[in-house]
Amino acid sequence: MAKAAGQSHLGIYISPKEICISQVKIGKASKPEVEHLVKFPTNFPVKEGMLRPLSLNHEFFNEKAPWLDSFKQAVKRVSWGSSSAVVTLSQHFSILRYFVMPAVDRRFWSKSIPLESKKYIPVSFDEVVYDYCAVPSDGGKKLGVLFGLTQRKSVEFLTETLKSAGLTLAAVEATPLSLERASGFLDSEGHDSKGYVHFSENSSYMVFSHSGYPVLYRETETDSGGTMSERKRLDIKGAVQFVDRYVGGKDYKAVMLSGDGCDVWQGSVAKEAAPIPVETWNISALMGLKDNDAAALFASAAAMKGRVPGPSLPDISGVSTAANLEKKVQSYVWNITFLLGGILLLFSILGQTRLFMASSKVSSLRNKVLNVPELDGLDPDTIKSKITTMQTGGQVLQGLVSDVDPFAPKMSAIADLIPAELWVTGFSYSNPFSLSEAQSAEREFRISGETFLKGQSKSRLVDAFTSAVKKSEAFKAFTPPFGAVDSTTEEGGVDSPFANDPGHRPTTSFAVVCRLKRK
Amino acid sequence: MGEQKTPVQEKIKSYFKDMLADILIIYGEKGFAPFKRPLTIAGPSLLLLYAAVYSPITSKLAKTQRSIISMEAVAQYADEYESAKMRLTGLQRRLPRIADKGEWLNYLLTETSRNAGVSIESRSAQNETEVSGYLVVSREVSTTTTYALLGKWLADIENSPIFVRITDLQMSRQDSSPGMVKASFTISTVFPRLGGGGGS
Repeated sequence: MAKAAGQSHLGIYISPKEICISQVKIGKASKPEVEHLVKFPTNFPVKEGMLRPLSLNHEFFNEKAPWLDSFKQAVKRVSWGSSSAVVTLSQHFSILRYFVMPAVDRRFWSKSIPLESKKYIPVSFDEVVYDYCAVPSDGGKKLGVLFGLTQRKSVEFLTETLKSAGLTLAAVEATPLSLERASGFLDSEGHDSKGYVHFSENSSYMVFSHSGYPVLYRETETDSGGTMSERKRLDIKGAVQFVDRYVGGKDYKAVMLSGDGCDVWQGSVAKEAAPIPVETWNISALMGLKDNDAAALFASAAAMKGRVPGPSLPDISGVSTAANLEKKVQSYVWNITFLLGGILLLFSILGQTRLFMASSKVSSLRNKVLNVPELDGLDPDTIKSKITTMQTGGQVLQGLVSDVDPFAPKMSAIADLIPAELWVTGFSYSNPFSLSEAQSAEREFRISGETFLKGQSKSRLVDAFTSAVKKSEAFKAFTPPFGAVDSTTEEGGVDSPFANDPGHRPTTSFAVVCRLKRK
Repeated sequence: MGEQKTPVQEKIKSYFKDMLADILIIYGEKGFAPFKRPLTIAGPSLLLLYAAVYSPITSKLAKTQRSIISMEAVAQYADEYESAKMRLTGLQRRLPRIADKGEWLNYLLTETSRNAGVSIESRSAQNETEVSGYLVVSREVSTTTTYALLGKWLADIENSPIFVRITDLQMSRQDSSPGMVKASFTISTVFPRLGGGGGS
């Protein structure tokens, strides 16, 4: 017997004959302990014979009903441990049906299930409240539905009555659900393959379930004066066939008898149920009850709602359904929130870690770029272009400042090298800057001179001078392959303002031309 | 063939599938009302978490990453840039300062001619031309002096530690004044362009 946590409720069983209020504690080893149990007759005049379903509700749940005062007194008399109550209505006041329908998408359950249930429940749905639980069956092709309902006014009346007695209605369920809860919790081993019959005074209560849902529930009342042969008619076989028709392939392994005279019943039931074995057990004792009273059993079972494991069962009042819905929505919203929050936190932690790593990288990079603050924020292309411009500028400037070829030493060299028979009459020197490709002008130095010599001797001397110039350190720039030093000699005389002077000697000219083409 | 899913994956998938289906059903049946209360708490909580924790970290991280990319680019070229800059700066130290652009050549000519004992007969206006990011400045002067003094003067000019060059020279012997030469020459220098010159 596993224990499920949940709010503590009072269990209230209501039948036309009697009302029972129970307070149950789930004790050590998940054993139920009945703390308070109050039972009183309703004094409601029950009509004899066959009754239409829910036909008693209007009269029973009425302000003039004789049980109201007794109920209020019963509630007052005991100091209850909870103000929340789960009401279990006998089959006179509620209807519970299990049926199977073709599977429909969950989205359409709210419309299609009530529609389908009308085939099985012969009452007008105009003034009823209902609830249902559905599970896919037959490999998802079908839907097993447990559908419960009662009169809306009955629930409203109950809510008000409980309120006036200082209680709050937590849920309303049908008695079969209470019996199923009790048997499922107290005999959990192999529970799904067992049928249960409980005898209380002259009534029998039979439930055959499937997956925690009562598929068949039958209450039978025999006259106290009835014979054993009358009593034998429990129709176990019919019950098993009924379940099989809805569930299909249900293989019951045992029928469990409990309550008043179950030992007496065992033999006849065993014959009826064969080959299904019949066993007896004491559900009342396990529930912590002093006798086999069904009302006490149902009330106590109702009190355990939400505190013992089991499938979700219909709450006709809609109170717990609404609460469950709210809980479900809250749980979804919080789950999504926690998920998103978790993702955000995870990414934040990852981000923080990456930030920490990035910060140390920034520190090491900062040391590298400390000397070039002017490059801060520039993209690689801009930096590259900047470097290229600087390198080009550097090359141009390098070419300019390293190209040192002073003119003054040349004048000195000429003065030293020129033979006495030759003299200089003029220089023409050109050495422009070469700052760009367009400025590729060549360097030229033209030395013009004269001599009194002529012919071979002049040529020899001019050649000798030219050769000396070539070898001179001052004229080193004009050496091949880019440079050249050449000379020209003219045989004609040079015009002189002193040409007519007596003793004037005619001269002839020569020129030494040094050229350098830029690299 | 699809990838085989583990039972845990199946469970997670089915949980989220059921959750989505339930949310759609609840929304379809009851509208937004059931979600209102939990969302009024959950929404601001998430927003607060986003605004106070996630957003500052991510924006700081993005900023740091941008800064790393930028610094990596700078660091990659920092050495090359520094060496180019150092070389250019070293070379530019041999050029006259741009601030002295108007006077420097004139000053050089005057000082050196005085030292050499040469008198300048004429000097042209300063000629300025911008070429490839440099400002080329020239002046032409003429003088009549002896060959030796002219040589000395030119040597003084060319010995200047600041870059200067005789870019053009015409000299001829003065027949009327024996021993004298008439010379006119142009000296030029280069100034780095404003804002750094050459490379900037």
